[in-house]
Amino acid sequence: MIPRFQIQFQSNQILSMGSYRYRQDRKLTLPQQDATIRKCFSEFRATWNKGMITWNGPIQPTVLSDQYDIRINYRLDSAPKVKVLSPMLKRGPNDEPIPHLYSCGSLCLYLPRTNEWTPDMSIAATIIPWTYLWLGFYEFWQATGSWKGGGEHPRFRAERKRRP
Amino acid sequence: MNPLLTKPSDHDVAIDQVLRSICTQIQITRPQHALAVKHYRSVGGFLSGSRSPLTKYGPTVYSQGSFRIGTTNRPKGQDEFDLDFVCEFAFWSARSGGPDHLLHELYDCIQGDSGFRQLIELKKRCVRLKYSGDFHMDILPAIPDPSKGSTCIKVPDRELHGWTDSNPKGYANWFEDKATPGQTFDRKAVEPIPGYQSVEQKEPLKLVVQLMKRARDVAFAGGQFDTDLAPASIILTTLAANLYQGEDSVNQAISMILCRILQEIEDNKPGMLEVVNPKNPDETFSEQWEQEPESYRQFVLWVRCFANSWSQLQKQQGLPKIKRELEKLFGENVAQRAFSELAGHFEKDRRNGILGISPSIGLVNDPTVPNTIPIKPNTFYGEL
Repeated sequence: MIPRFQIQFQSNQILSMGSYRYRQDRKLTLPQQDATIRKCFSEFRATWNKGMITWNGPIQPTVLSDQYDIRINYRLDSAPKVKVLSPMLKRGPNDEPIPHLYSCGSLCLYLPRTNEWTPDMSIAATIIPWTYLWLGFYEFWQATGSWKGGGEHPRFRAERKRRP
Repeated sequence: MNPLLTKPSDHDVAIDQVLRSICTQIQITRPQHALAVKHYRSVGGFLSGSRSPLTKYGPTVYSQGSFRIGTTNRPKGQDEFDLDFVCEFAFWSARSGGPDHLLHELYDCIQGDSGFRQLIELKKRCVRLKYSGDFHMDILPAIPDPSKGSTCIKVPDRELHGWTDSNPKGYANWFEDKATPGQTFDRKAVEPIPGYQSVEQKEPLKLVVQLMKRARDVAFAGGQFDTDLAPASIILTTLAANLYQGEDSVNQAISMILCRILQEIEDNKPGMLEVVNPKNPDETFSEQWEQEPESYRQFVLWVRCFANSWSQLQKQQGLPKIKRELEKLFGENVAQRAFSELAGHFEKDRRNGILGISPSIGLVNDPTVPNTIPIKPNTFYGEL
């Protein structure tokens, strides 16, 4: 039985001042996450495997975009991982690497170890909308050669710091 | 809007956004417009002012062509802006002298001014002022046409043997009426030189005309079509306005207009289309086709290609593919700048918190779309 759950999109970030910790008691359960995803994105389907839940679903980031099949893997106490299954993501026209992608192929949607995403947040209100955004900027990057979505690349950041 | 038209689809709305961005890249900029107005005022003031040597002929100067109806594009490549003006002499009749006489009066008058002397050039039918900043102003002398009345005028014909018919003011009013179907265009609002209109302020028909002219420039830049045989802007403008039926979407309007032009071409076979000034049918715009049938053949071929590319554009999915289609039609740089601008808007809307997700449409920046999920702030990360 899936508990009734009201989606709180506006302010479900629960933090104590100056801390990145979320309240453990507000951590959303997997059935809660699944309920909100199915409510907002009706074409997403969940499969369960022990402690892990996997959602598969289509995302068309803009009306003019391709439709992408994506997969989200999530288990409690770990970060949700988003992969694009099809069409396959392509490097740039001059073999440039795809920006904001982990080497395992999942999308880098938020800064880890900050409070941008915590397990008390609904995946339907964070990870999935960020995937829309990522795919939108990916298509613009493919079209123009420039990533307009901002973000950070740790290697660049380290190099910047090393500079005198 | 025509009640029989289908409402623009989400796809039309999205393509329109891209097309508007392309129009921003191709149309005359606000500073360029302001400069043209400044030069117009100085020449117009000089010619029609009380100290003008031509006062006895009652001169008035006004804009004509694209500048008057707000469809001026930036020139492609090395071309200069060509802005057309009329200097109409109310008190000159055909009996006062032939067009060559009037043209020389106009030339001598401007030549007499030390400021304009360095800029002036006598052309076959008009006086040209070449300004720095890559633009020139052509001033065509004209006299009223009392037999037709209204705003009809006579201008020198190409060979300067006599007068030929025209009606630039009537044409501009007709075009504005076509651009705003269902509304009565306020003619008093038409100044001798209209103010600058940004893409957001323009009616779909004006954007359609700009896009058609740009597509013509790209296609006739060499290669498949012969530059010298390109259809004149006035032909494209008149066909588009005649066949426009009040579509709200630029995308839809172009699809329909191209389709209707092809139909007209079929209906006129084996003859050629004839395009005239609807406000002075004695002024034929399509003379070039009669004189050079090859130019008509190329026009027909080009419209077919254009219509094909347009239907290809509708089938593409994915921004890179759509950009490639638009590059072929409007040029690489223009498409590149338009898409960069769109991506920038996208990011700006996101930062301002007005971008949301509609599961059925995708990313939207319109708060009136129902069931929109807001996007929380995030920072894309990555190893690269």
